[in-house]
Amino acid sequence: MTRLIYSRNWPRIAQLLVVAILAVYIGAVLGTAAFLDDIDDPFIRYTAAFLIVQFSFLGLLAGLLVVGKYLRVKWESRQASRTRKLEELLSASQSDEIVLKAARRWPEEFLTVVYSALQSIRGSERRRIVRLLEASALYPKLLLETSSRNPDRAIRAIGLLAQLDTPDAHAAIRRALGHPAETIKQAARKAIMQGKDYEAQRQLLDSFPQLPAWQRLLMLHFAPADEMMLPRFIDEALHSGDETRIVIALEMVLTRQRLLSSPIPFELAQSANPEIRIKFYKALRFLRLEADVTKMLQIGLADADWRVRAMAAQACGQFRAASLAERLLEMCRTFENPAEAANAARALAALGGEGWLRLQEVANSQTEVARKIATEAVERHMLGGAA
Amino acid sequence: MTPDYRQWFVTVLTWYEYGIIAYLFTLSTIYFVLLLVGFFEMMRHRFAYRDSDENRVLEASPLVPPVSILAPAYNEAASIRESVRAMLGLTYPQYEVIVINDGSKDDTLKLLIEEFHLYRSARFYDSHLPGKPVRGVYESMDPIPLVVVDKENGGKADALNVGINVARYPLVCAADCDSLLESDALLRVARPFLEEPERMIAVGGIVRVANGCHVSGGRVLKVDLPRSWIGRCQVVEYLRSFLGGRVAFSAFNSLLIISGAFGLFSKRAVLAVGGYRTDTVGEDMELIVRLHRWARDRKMDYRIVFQPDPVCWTEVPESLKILKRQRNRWQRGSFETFWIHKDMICRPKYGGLGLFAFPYFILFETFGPLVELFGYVLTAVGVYLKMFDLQVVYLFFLAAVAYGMILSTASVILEELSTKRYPKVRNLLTLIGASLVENLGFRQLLTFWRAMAFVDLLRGKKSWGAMERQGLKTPPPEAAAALQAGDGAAR
Repeated sequence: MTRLIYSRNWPRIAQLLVVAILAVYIGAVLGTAAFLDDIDDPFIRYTAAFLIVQFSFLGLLAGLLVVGKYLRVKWESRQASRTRKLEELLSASQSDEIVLKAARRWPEEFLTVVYSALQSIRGSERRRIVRLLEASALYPKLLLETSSRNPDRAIRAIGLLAQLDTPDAHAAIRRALGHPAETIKQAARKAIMQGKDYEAQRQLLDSFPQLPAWQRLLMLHFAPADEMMLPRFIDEALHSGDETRIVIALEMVLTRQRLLSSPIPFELAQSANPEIRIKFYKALRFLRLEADVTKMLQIGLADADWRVRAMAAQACGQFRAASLAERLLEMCRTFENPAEAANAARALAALGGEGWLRLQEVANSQTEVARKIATEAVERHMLGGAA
Repeated sequence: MTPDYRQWFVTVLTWYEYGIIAYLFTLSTIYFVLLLVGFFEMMRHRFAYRDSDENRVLEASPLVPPVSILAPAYNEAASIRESVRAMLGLTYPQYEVIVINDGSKDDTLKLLIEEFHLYRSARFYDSHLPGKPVRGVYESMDPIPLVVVDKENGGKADALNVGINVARYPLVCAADCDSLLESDALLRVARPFLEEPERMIAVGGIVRVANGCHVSGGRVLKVDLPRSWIGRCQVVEYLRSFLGGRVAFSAFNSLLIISGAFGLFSKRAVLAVGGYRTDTVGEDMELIVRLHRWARDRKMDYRIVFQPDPVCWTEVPESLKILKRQRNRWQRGSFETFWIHKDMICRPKYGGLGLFAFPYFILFETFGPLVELFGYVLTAVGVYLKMFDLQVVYLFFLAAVAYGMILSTASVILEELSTKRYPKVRNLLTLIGASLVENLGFRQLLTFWRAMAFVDLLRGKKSWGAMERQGLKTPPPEAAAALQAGDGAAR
C-alpha cells in the first residue's frame, strides 16, 4: 500500500481503487441477494443484501482495528521499554560487544536510538555511536535500503546515513536521488545539503531551478551557510542573466540574512521581471553593489510597480538615505497603494533630522490618508517600533 | 374509506416509502464513496507530509507569507486572555493577531487593555469592506503582534470584515476566539499557499471536539473523549463530516464549506468578492461558495482545499438546548447560501461544483432532514392505520438507522486508519459505541431540529442565538506540567 501511495500515479490509482471497491461491494450485494431468494420483493431483497454486506464488512474491519490497536499499544509500550534499555546501554558506556548484541536482538529500536542520539550528541560519544552503527550488521542493510521500494525504510535509512560522513553513505544517499518517490528524493536532497558530500551539493544547487518553489524554500534552509560553495553559487546565479536562477539566488540571500561579499550587477534593479526587482530591493541591505546605493534607490523609487517602490522606500530607511527624503515625502502624499506610502513614512522616521521633521508636517497636514499614514509612522517611531 | 380508495392509498404510501428508502440508500452510498475517497486522500496526505523538520524550517523562513489572524470576540471576558495568549504563542515566522471586540457588553476590552498593555493606536487602515463603525484600534506597548479593534456590534461577519480591513498581511486566518489552535496549525494550514501560491484561494483545517480533553494555557495537552454521549456523538459527526466529506470534496476542488472556526484565505481574493456577507447566518459557507463562483466565472485556475492535519479544537455544546440553537443556525445558514447561489445549480459552467456538490448538498444535506422526518411520520401513520406490510417498516428502520450506524462506524474507522488522534483502545471502543448510539435517537432529534429550522427560516428568523460555553477540562497545575513535559502529548 505504501508503495502505491508514493507512486507518481497515486491520484489515478486511488480513483481506480474507489471504483474497484465499489465493484466488489456491488458484486457482494448481488451475491448475497442471490442467497436471499426466499424474499419475494426484489426491492426488499436487495436492500437486505446491501445491509448485510455493509454490516459484515465494517464489523470485520472494526473488530480488526480494535484488536490491531490493542496489539499496537502493547507493542509500542514494549518497544519503548527496549528503547530505554538501549539508551541506557549506550549512555552507560557499556562495552561495544554488549551494545552490538542488543542491536542484533532489537534492530528497529537500535536504529531509532542511534538516530535520535546522532541528532543531539557531538564529540567523542557521537564518534563512538557512529562506529557502533558501522560495526553493526545493520549498516550494510541501511546502505541498500536508501533505494528500497518501501518508502518508510528508505527514508529512515537516508536519515541515518545523513548523520555519517563516509563515502559509502554518500553514495547510498546519491542513489536515493533517483528514487521514483518524490518524498524520498526530498529526504535525499535534504541529507545531501546537510552533509559533507560537496560534489553532490554542487550538483544539487545547480538543479534548484527545476525544483518547485516550496521545495526550494525548504532546501534553502538546509544549504550549508559556512561553505564557500553557496556564495559562489549566488554570485554566479546573479550574474547569469537567467531569471529563475537570479530569483533563487535572491531568495538564498534573504534566507541566509548575511552580507554577500562579492559585488552584484546593478542591472538587476532594472530587470524586466518585477519579482527580481522586488526581491532585489528587499535583499538590498545584504548585497554589495557595483554602483552607488543612492542611485540604486532612486531607480527603485521611480519604478513603475508600486511593490518595487515600496521595497525601495523600505531600503531607504535601512540605508539612512537622507538625500532621498524629498522623494519619500512625495511618496507619502501621492501613492498608488497605502503600503508604499507607509514604507516611505517609516523610512522618513528612520532617517531622523530633516526627514523626521517633514514627516511630522505630513502628520499635521489636511490630506486625510497621508496624514493617517504619517501619524502612524510617527507614533510607531516614538514608541520604538522598527523602521 | 372504501376498500378501493384504501388500496390506492396504501399503494401510494408504500411507493412513497420505497422512494424514501431509495433516497436514504442513495445518500448512504454517496457517503460511502466520499469516505472511500477521503480515506485514500488521507493516506496520500499522511505520507506526503511526514518530515517533522519541515515545520522547523518554515518557522524560520522569511519567505513564508505573513498571516493576519482574525479573532472576533463578543462577551468573551471569561476566556479572552487565555485565548489571545495561546494565539500569540503560535509557531509561525510572521503573523499578527487581530482581536475584533464586536461591541461586547462585558469587560472583554478592559481585560485585554490591562493584560496586554494596550494603547490606542494611530494604525492606518483602509475601509475596503463595509462594517459597523470602529471605536478605536489598540496595539500593545509590549513587543507582541497584537491588535485589538473595538467596534460597534454587528455580528461575526461584520467583525471579520472590519478585521480584514485592518489586516496588513496577504493571508488572513479566520479563527474563533474560543477555539484552540495547535501550536503549528498555522504553519500546516499555510502549506498549500506555499506549494501553489498562484492558485490557492482558501484552505480549511480540521476542527475537532475539545470536550473531555485536558487543556491548559490554551493548549490541548491530552486528547480524550467527552464524558457525555451527546458530546461523543458529536465527535463521530465531526469525524464523518471532516474526514469523509470535506477531504473528498476538496479532492474534487468542490469544497463548499470551510469552518468559521479555522480557515486561511488569500486577502486579495476575499476583498475581490466583497468580504463576508452580513445578512446570512451561514457567512462562512456563503463566502466559500462566492469565492468558487468568482473564480469560475473568471475561468481562473484556482484551488480551495481542506487540510486534514492542522487542528483546531473547539468546545461543542453538551446541552440539548444549545445544540438545538446551533443546528438550527447551521441549517438556516446552508439554506440561505444555496438560495443566494441557486443559479449555480446544475450549471456545467461551475464544473463538479455545480453538477455534483451543489445538487448533493441541496438534495441530501439541506432537504435531507425534511425527507427523513416525513418518512418517520409516514411510517408511524402507516403502522397505526395498519396500512403497511411490516417488512416495509423494518426496511425503513434499517435504511434510516442501521445504515447510519454503518457510516458512522466507517468514519471512526477512517480516523483510526489515518490520523489516530485518540490514543487508547478504550477511546476507539467508545467511539464505535457512539456511532451506534448516535443513530438511536440523537440523529433523529437533530433531523427534527434541522427540519424545524425551515419553519424559522419561513418566519424570517435571522438571529444566531447565544452559545453558552461550559468550559474545558483544565488539569491541576502539577498535572498540566507533567503533560506538557510529555512533549506534545496531544499529537
